[in-house]
Amino acid sequence: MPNLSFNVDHASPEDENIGEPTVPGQPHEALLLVLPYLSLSGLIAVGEVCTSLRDALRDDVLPWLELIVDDPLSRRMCDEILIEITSKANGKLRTLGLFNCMKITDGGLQTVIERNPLINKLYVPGCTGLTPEGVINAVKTLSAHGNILQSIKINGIYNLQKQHLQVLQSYVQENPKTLEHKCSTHFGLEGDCNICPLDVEICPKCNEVRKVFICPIETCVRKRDRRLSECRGCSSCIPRCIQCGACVEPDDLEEAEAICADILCMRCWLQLPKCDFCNKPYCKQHAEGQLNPSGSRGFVCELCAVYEEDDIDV
Amino acid sequence: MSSSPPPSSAAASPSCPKKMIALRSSDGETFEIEEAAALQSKTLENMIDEDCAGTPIPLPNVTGKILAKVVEFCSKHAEPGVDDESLRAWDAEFVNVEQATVFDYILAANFLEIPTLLNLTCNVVADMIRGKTPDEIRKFFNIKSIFSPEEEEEVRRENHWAFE
Repeated sequence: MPNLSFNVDHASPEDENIGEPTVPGQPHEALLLVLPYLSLSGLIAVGEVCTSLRDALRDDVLPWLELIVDDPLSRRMCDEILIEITSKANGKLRTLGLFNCMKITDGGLQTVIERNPLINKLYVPGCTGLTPEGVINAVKTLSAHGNILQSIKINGIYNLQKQHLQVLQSYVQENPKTLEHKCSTHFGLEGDCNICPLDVEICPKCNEVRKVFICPIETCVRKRDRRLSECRGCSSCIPRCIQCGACVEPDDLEEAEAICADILCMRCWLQLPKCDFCNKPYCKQHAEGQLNPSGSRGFVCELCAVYEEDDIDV
Repeated sequence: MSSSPPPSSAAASPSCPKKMIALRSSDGETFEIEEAAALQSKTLENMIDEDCAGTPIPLPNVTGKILAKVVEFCSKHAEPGVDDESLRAWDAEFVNVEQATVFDYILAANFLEIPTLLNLTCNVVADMIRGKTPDEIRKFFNIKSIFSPEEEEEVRRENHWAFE
């Protein structure tokens, strides 16, 4: 692969290969196709890279149709900025994804909704500045002109009650696409489902509005021991392994703990490397960067490493 | 030129032989692909409907090297009875290639309108971009920034809210 010289502004005839950037120093064509897959923080960074990417974002509506606002922009997103950013979709916004954007208010949400009647995925989990009534208003507005919502996320909004859920469910379930869907999203596994009509339900055990999970194992421990037909409940009612989603009996909780304080089932616990001192593992997610880079037999976790240092000093 | 063997592992029943579609790359190589696999491409699906007695479909935008891999991808994804986890692992290996190749896959998936391949490859590159500063993105993709000082100032002003 020839090294791209930053002094050359124009391509020479030999550079015109199919699949290679025709102008060295310019972004590859394929990058333009990637833009719609970026969250807002990615789009902002890319817009500062060079003039052609900046122009691509300015002139094209496609990258702005599925807006995802997450870390680190969540806490900085406010009504005014949201209205400005969503205007880049020219009224054609399809996904409004606001994750933990606590500054957004009912008024801001409603303004965006009114200007973008085609939204069919409304994600506002953790947007604690919103009220259940505000979300219901937004959903009512969207559904008023024949638009059928596909998916809503509201986990983390304060004061959610059963009756709010019932209203929201009535607006989403009419979509024939979602009726067929059988969700396999389990606790801890990556990827929140974007097809499930609503991310929360009434937990059959505590009766609160929560994310409710099913057990990935056909005959899990709980079903077996308690002769239940289903293992279903929120994470407060049924503790689950962070890696596979299997239920963990309260008696086993102490033994199957990870350094990062996440819960592991015995099977996953056994497969993970353990700290030499406390014999606890990291879960896969928190293991990155913590394990011994030289890959030698064991490692010392960050908690035990503190004690180890103290011992040596003494 | 050379023709690769049919990629299918499933046996064809005698009364219903699997229909093979011939494709020709920009550099003249011919490839055969099962119809079921070819239908993953909306472009090919449209062309197959107007089929002219099995002449190879010319694909002037795709080289032989890339077309071979695209055929492999479509064939794998048309295979019956592959569980989700295995397919995900296979996909991860498929895109475990150098940057230039992933870009070629993206362009081919776009031209041939193969949503599964386009999503897979674009998400790979999106992951490369995630978390990087503009400067890091420039270095990673070998991009030269030619902003004038005024333009740079304007862009910073527009995005100031994201950095306070």
